[in-house]
Amino acid sequence: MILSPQKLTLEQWDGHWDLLARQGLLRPEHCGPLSRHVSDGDTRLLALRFDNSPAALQLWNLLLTEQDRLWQWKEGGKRLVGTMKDLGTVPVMAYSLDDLVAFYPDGAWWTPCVMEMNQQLLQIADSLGIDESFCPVRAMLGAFVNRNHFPIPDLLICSVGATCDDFSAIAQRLNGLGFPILWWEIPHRRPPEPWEEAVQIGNGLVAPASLVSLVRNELDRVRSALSALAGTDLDDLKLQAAISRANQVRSLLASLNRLAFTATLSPLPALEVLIAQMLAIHFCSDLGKTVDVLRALLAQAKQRVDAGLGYGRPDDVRIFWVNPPADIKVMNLVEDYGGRICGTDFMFTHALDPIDLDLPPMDALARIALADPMVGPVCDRARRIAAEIQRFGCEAVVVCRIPGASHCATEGSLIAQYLRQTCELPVVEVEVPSLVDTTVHVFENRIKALIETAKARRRG
Amino acid sequence: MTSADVIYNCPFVPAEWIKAHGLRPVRLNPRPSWGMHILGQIEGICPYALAFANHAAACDAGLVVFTTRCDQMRRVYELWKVCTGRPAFLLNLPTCRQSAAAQRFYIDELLRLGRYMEQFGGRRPTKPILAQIMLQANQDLETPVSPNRGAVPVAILGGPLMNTDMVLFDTLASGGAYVVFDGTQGGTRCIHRPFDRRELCEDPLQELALAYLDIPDVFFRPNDGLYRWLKAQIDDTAVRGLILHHYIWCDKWKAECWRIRQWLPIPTVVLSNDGQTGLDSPGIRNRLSAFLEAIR
Repeated sequence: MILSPQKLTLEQWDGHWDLLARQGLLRPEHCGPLSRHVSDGDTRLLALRFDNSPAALQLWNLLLTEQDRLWQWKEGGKRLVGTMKDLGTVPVMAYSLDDLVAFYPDGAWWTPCVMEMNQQLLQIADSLGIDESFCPVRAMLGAFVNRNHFPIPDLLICSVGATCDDFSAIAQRLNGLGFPILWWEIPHRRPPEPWEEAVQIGNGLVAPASLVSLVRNELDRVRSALSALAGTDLDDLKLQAAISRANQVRSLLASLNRLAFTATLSPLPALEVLIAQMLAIHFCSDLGKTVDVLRALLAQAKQRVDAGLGYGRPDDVRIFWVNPPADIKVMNLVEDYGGRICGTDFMFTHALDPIDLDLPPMDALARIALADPMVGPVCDRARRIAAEIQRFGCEAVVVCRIPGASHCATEGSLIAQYLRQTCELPVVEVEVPSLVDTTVHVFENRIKALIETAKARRRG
Repeated sequence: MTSADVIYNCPFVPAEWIKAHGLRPVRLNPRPSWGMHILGQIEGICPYALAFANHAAACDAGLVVFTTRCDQMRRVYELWKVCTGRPAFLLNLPTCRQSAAAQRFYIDELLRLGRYMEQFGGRRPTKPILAQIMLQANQDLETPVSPNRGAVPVAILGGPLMNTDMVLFDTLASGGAYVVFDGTQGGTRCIHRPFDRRELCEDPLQELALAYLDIPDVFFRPNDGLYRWLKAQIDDTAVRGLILHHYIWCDKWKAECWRIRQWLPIPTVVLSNDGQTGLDSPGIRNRLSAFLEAIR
């Protein structure tokens, strides 16, 4: 049975859930209605609208039960690895070992949004001198202090070097508060000099072999720490197996993105596409369930596309979105204003690219780590965005700014400048705070102006 | 300025390495941008990073060296390339300095800088030439200033100062204070330790790199070295108060302010610098005056 796509409020979803249950369309993996998470404090859900498919329900439940899952893993004897900043590489290593579960404490950056500030995480960070001049990832500090959001990991691993100053500074503060951290170096990715050996690191990028070698050595230190934590050797065979499973996730997401961005009508709302992409970085602490959820979403999307069903109108303006929004509600809003997200760079494109299985696993992981868009020159990132814009036929670009983020001011402007010149598209930069409500009119005006401009260009 | 000048600001760019290539190191102490924006005015950029780039762009030097010591400077380098099209070099610095791989990485980066300088008239140095320049540098290392009897001993710590901010020292002196150690980027904290004579005879470049990596700085992870240095300074002096300086948008120094204040046994005052108003504003003078009065 194909459900006609419809965005539902949380209240509507409850009624819809009863209906689906009566029709026998729900299975145990769909858990319960989403509204139960509101009582846990996830009050932002009340302001969102959700896709009405069981697959989307499964996706949201996977996301919103992560905290419970982490506690369960811990109580069940698994060792928790808090991996920070690298967004996608170290978890692949951790999930090579059965006794380890990796997650990103950085994910707490969305907590002020999802829980609408009611956990006071930002206030805790304020009290520790990490005020609003820092990126909302400062909420992570609050989460470590109040210990309400995730179990304290048995091992903390953080990549530093060519990373945001905010994150590096906050992680150092965390370290100063008594949380030991294994730091590993991710150097700035520069182009190879003419005299240097150059290697392909994926997606058309090249890097000096010496940098790949450095990162491989650094990841070897991580490998040793993971082996010691698990009490078993993390060998290449185990790594190969984990890379294969990670590639399965990446492949499913690539298919999902392709459908979402290229079908005449979008088979999934932008919000669900964003959440699905997030699964790539640490599999929401459950690789198996992540694969199940993505398969279900992909099947749902295919069904809708085949049936000619989807969201929006064919003439909605096709927008490329750069950087993750601190308030996920804006994904709903863009569609309300007549936009359609047809391409994204949420700062972890390297976690979506396939990892080369033909290389020795540590070499492959080093290359994918170096392909992180945030460690390389802005022009590399902008070039990739331009290529995706062309591939998906985008007509406008939103460069989303993260309040206080050290990279955004310069990087956002350079990306915007590059895309205006290269793609000759209208581009707007817009800052999205953790709760957009108080500045929603600014957001609305800027997005609508962008959409009107793009439509005017169609008329030539 | 001449084409043989190499402009830089970061203490991890070894002047001796530039000199050994026959070029002239010019460590720029930039002036505030004050509306003169070759690189444009962008909200959210560190004012110091922008001031350095703007000032360097106004100079007629052969080469400008940026480093990856902070995200802001790394990205201002990219802005420089787009806006000026002039030659510049981005020196990749290791953040986890304790590992041998990081040390090797830094040496490789210095060699890469050397090859780049050769394109601008530099000559590849021999070991004896580098060693000789390093020995000379040992002799040039500053000797501590004698205490000023009767004045209040204070210390300064934090990010770099712009040239107009040097007025801070006058303000302190006129307020009856004496700076026992300067832990800003231009001060004693960022001067490398003396080079080891035996080591520099064997492998001068390695000794150069290790000496520079020993500079205690806020950007290293972990940055315990900075705290060890600070403790040693405090133990060695009779310092009564610390002036902690950071630019707005400088996350690395700003994030440490709270920890330093908690950790230090002496009173601390934090000066947040917007890079425009400077450290000579009535507000800052008044703040310093009250601080000095309180610790006298």
